[in-house]
Amino acid sequence: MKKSLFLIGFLLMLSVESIAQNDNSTNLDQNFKRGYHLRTTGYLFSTNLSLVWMTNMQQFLKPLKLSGESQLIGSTPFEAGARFGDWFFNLNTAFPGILSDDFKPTMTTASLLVERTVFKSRNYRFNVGGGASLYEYSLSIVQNEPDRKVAFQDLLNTTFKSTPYIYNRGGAIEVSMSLSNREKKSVSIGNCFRLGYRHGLQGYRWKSKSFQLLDAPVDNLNMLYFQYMISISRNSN
Amino acid sequence: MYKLSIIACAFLCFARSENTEKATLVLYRGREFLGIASEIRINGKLVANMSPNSYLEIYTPPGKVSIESNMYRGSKRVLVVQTEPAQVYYIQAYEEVDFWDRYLIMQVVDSETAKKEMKKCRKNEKVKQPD
Repeated sequence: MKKSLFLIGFLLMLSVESIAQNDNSTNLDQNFKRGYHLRTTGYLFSTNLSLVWMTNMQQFLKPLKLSGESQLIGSTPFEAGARFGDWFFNLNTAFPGILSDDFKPTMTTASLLVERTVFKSRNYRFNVGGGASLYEYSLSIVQNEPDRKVAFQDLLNTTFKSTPYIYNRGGAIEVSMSLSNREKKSVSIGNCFRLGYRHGLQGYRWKSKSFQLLDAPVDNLNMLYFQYMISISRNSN
Repeated sequence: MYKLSIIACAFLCFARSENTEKATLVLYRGREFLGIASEIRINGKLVANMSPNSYLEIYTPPGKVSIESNMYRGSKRVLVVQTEPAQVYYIQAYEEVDFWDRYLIMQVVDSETAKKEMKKCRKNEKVKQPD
C-alpha cells in the first residue's frame, strides 16, 4: 500500500506533460513564471490536523483510555517556498497547537517538499509531490488528583501521578497532494489545501529528556495529515 | 385534419416570425475545474441557473439587454449588450475565483470562436424566456 502510494506519486510527477491540461478559460492576462510564497494558518486556530499511528505507544495508552487506534492532533502550519514554472519547493513546518489537560500529545514536523502541478485551470492548481521530514512526537500523561492537598514548600519533594515528556523523534518520507488558487497578480493571496501521508524511515525508540528511559518501545511513524493554509505569493516573469 | 394543418402552419409561422423579430443571446461556459453554477438574469428576470460546460439560448426583444450573473458567496456582474432584431449574439462566460470573491466574467465573442468552444457544451433546456 505504502509502496503503491509512493509509486503513484512518483509516476504522476514524471508523466505530468501527458496529463497536464487546461480548461477552456485558462488564458490568464499574465502567466507568472516564478514566485515565492509564505503560507500559514488563516484563522488563528490549528489548521494542520494529523492522524498518527504509533502502535506500541497506543497499546500502552489504551488501558488508560487515553488513546484509540490512532491519535488526532492539531497543530499550526507554516510554510515558505519558491515556484519555478509548475515546480514548487517548500519548507514546511507544523508547531503544536492547544494542549489538553490530561494528555498532551504534540507533533512537531519540519519537511522539505517538492511538488509539481499536474493539472491547472484558470483558478486552481492541483499538485502532487513528495519529500523528507523530521518529526518529534511527544506526550506526557497527567493523572489529576483534585482531592489531594500539597503544601507549596513541598512542591519539589512530592511525587505526582504524572510523567515528564517522552518523545519519539526521527526522520520520515512523505507524499502529498495539494489544491491551491492560481496566482494571477504580482502579489496574490490564495487558499492552499494539502493532504499527505508520512512514514517513518525506521522504527525509533521512545526517549525522555528528563532521564534515561529503559526498555522503551520502538515505534515507526504512520501519519495522515491535512493542512489548510492561506498563501501570500510574490510573482514575476 | 385539414383545419388542424392550417392551424399548425399558422402557429409555426407566427412562432417563427416572433423569433426572427427577437434577438438571440447564446450564453455559454466551457469546462471549468471546480466551477459552480451561476444565476443568470436578463433585464432583472431570472432565466436560468447556468453550470459550467453548458449554454443557454435566450430570445429577447431588441434594444439594450442587461445580463446579470450572480454566484453563491460571490458577487454580481452585469454585461449590457445592444441588440438588433434577428441577430445572434454569442457571449462567453467563465468563472473567476480569487481569495476574496468569485464571479462570472462575460464578454461578447464572434460566432466562429463561440461555435468552436461550444462544441462539447450541452444545451440548458430549463430556460425561462424573458417576455
